[in-house]
Amino acid sequence: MGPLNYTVAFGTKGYPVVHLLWALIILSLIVVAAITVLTLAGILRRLRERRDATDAHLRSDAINLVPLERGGRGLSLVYIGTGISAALLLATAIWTFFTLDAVSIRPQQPAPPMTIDIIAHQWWWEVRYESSSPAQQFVTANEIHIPTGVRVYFKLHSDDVIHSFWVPQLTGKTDVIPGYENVTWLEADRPGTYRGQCGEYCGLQHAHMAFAVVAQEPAQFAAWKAQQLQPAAPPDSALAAQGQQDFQVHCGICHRVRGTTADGILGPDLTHLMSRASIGADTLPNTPGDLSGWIADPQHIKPGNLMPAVALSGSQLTDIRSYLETLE
Amino acid sequence: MSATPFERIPEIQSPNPQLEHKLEQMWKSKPGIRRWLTTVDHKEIGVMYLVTAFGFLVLGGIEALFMRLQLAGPNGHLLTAQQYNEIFSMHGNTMIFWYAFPILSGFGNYLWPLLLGSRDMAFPRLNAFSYWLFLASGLFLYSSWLVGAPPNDGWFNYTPLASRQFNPGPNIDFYTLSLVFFGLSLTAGGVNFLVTTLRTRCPGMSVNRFPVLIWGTLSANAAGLFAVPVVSVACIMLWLDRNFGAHFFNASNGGQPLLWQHLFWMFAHPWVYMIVLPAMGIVSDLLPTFCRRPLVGYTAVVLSTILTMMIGFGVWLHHMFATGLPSLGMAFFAATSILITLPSGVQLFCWLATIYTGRPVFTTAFHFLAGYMFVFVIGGVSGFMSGAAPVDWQLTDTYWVVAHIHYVLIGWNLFAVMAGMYYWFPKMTGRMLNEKLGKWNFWTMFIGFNVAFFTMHITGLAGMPRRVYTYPAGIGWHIPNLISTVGAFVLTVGILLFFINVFYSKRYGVRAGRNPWDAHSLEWATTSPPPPYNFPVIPSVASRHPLWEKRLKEGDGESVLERGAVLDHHHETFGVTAMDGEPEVILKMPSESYMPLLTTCALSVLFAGLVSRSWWCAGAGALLTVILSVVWLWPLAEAGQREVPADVL
Amino acid sequence: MSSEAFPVQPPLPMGSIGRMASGTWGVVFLVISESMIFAYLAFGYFYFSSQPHYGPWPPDGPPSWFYPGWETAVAFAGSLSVWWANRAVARGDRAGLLSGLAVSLLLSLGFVALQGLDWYHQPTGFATDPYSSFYYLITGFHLAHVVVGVIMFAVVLLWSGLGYFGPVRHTPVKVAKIYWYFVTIVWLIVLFTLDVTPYFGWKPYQVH
Repeated sequence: MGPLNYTVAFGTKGYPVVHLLWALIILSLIVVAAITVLTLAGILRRLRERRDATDAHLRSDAINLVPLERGGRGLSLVYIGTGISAALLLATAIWTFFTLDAVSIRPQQPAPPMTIDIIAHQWWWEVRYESSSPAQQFVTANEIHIPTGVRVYFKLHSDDVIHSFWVPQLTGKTDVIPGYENVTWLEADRPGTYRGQCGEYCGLQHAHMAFAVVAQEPAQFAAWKAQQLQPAAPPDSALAAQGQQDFQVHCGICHRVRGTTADGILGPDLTHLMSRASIGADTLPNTPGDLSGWIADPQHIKPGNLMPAVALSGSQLTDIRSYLETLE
Repeated sequence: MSATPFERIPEIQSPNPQLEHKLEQMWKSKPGIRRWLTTVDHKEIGVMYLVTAFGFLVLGGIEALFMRLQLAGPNGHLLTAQQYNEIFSMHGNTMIFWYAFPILSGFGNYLWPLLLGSRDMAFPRLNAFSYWLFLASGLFLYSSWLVGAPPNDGWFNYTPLASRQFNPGPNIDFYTLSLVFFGLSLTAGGVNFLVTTLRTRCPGMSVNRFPVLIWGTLSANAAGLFAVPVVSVACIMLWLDRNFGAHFFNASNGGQPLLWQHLFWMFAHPWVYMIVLPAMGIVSDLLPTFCRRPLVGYTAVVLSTILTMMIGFGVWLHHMFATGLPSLGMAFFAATSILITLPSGVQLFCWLATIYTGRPVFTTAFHFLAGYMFVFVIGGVSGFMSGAAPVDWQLTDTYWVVAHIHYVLIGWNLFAVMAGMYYWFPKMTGRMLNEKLGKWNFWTMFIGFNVAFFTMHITGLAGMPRRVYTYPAGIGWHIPNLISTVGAFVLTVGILLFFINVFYSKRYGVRAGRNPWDAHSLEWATTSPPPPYNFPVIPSVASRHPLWEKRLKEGDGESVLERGAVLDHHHETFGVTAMDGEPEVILKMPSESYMPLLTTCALSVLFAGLVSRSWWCAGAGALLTVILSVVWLWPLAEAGQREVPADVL
Repeated sequence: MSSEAFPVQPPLPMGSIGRMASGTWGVVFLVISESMIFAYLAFGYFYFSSQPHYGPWPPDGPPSWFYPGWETAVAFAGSLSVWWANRAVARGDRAGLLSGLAVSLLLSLGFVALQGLDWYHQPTGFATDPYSSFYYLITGFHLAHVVVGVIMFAVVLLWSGLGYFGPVRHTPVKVAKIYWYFVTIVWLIVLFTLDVTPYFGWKPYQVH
């Protein structure tokens, strides 16, 4: 199944939950099968009686001819069924308590190794890497890199309505609620890209509010982080330089590229746009063609999203795209 | 002993043509169209409830089919995001509020006085009023399409997405006001059902002899009196937030978004039980007839019904497991949510034992009951899985939950409703539904339903969130969605077959006698369809199965159906003691009236004024409502409400 | 075969009589449901007050008892007068019925006036802050029920004046009594919520 299939998990938070999930699925299937078989057994019993009986009434299919009887020992079936159910339910409740305990947040002694601040917007994710030293802080969007084997904590804030932070193969949902700070954690035990998705209906483009968690070996993660901490490289061609000018005029009100005068905070930080695999909160792959299409008419691709279609000439579009392609 | 002018000794007779003629003249509705506008006959109101609720089922179904077409493949573009969001919201509201409970109220209205052996509900005009309010609130909700602003925030309408800031149109005002409007209908109906059960029954109908449907509907309506106020309050608060700048739910305005969720689910979880317990009551009452034996564990079933309803008030937080609750609270609500399965399990085992130790007769109704066992257990286990909080963090808001809610709403509700229709249609119309068409009806519905919705469990496990208007290709959601769409259309064919069967059998069906199923309860003791006065003489019962007791040799004494109190001075029935059903008063009831309809119209003016922010219009509606209510409640001499001795009348 | 279907021998009363009238039962269930409104309003109020980041609740300290105190007295006096009216009608005392209902009507109008004055003297408006929104919401819901009580008293007074009621038939008078008892009892819930609980450990806001 696909990348959001949560019947598999990768990491210390996912495992206990996925074990419980599978146990409950199997238990449920057994219960459904048992009840179905028992119902059918009751029906078959009557069919056989109808076939074998010599009494015309018992053979009858006319309801008023079939004799009424207060059949015996029905209640014992109820007692047995209820007893078994109670035991299973109790066991489930206890297993649930243990799982809750295993995955819950505890005060960290000492401070958690890594904390990422997530700010959910209609309809994208702002990702702020926290650090006690300002030089180690940076901001990105829609693509969260983490080192493998490390418990990563997330502080969840919302800029507008309620969203839900959900990376099915790493962690279940935690709602992102305006006016509150919710906290969750996850840990990936092997490298890979894990898809995340907003899990709470949040308006028009709830369908297009995905993100990715990229788990990397600690060394690779450190390299990625070092690169993210850099401001944007200066344009390497005349076209890109013109693009930077146009970008700063037309796009800089909402988007930030560190190291330039584009300093907007309403949209995603684009300083290292080319390091990300997708655009528009995982609406399109990050290819030059899709990027052009997106800039030219974001309302066509993701109707109702808060990025307006800016009136750009063909050449402006080309040079802005050329500039963006330099933002490695 | 001589009677005072305010008392009399009821005359005891056997039914005779003279008496029946007199009662017919006294009870029958007005002729022509006025019949439907003024009726207070619970049977006619019950039929109006059923027809209207089926109408809403059709509307919600059409909306569902649009969604299924949109989702049949990836990147669908039949609907825009806005249209899809409006349609899924209207689908949810229509089915959960305007179909699922009213359809059961339809059965309740039609059947209660017949099951309890009385002539009508305790408040006949209030009964008509609750119907008109139901219809008017539904029309009010659907009028939002006319101004292009239907509710678009789902059936649970979370704030602050529903606040003016993020949802500036009147969409959500239609949502809040239509729910308040509908709540009036529920309250009126709830009071009526409660007083009817406690007061207007035949002699000997003690509480331990109630059919289980009575217990189910009673629990549901009692719960409604406790649960409906909270959604009305929440909706009024949200409406004030949106229109008068109150600070209840919008975080950027100092409000608490989670308070909406608490208030909504404190209502909506009991509501889920309210729309299934009466349906489960139908199953408990029908199985004995078709298995040719009394229900196994009547007491257990009744206690489970009541217990489920009570625990139903203590599990609302399991809808909020992902909101960041403290672990202790989470553990408590996980435990209650898992354990609430147990009383439902008890009922399931009682049904199973009834089938196993009985002699099932394989009618269409029994097919639906047996199918019910299967979908009931699937809906049950998927619900109990959601109670395990850490698992719910995955399941919640995915198609898993969509599957679960449809197993509960279609499985636990509609399958019982279908069984009920096949069972009581002969009583309502005097003709049987066609059994051959019925089998086709069952199998297409059963297969289509399971194909559509069992598959959604898979879609959910594959991680598809609910309420997305489209999805990308290549992430494993295409095939299950396509299967669900096909299943939805098969289910639609099944439901169409039902409607065809109704229209066909209404005219050409085999004539039913009084008791075509050789069933056990009182409604089968009168003609099919019953006369407007239900019973020419008030029966008295001495057992749980008055029509079976001789053959089963049960009861303390004997039920007497062919001889009883006449009560022919006016619209009259017995008022009895609440527990034992001993007559203590002869109640007099009002006859036909335009007032319920007129008062509903006045309230519609009020709500139209509120939603359009025309305060003069709202004020006029409110004033009119007060005036009409006073006229309505004016004490009537013939109903024994004024100090006039009865022998003067 | 039992010879008699219906073994009741004594004559049964007919029509709308006291405890046995359907209207009496109906209003009891109606006010139970209406009471829940106030329980849920109180839940919302306490939910807000328990949120730590709100600072003081109420923001300006516990409210004054002046108007609520008088309102309490008026509500109880109304219960007393409508009880008196019921006692009178049961004894066939027409003057007592009319005067009891008239006094109840005046007291209910007095309650409306007091609540209006209380609102008029509030320094904050409905949309000032969450506390004031709740204050007006809860008192407003109660006031709406009082207004229904006013209408009820007026109409029942009119009907009594028309001579409809006597020792046997007077269910509407009884219904008005039950309803006003309910208004009084939920007023106590409102009073406890808004005017008593703030005294349990209200602390002025500490600037961190």
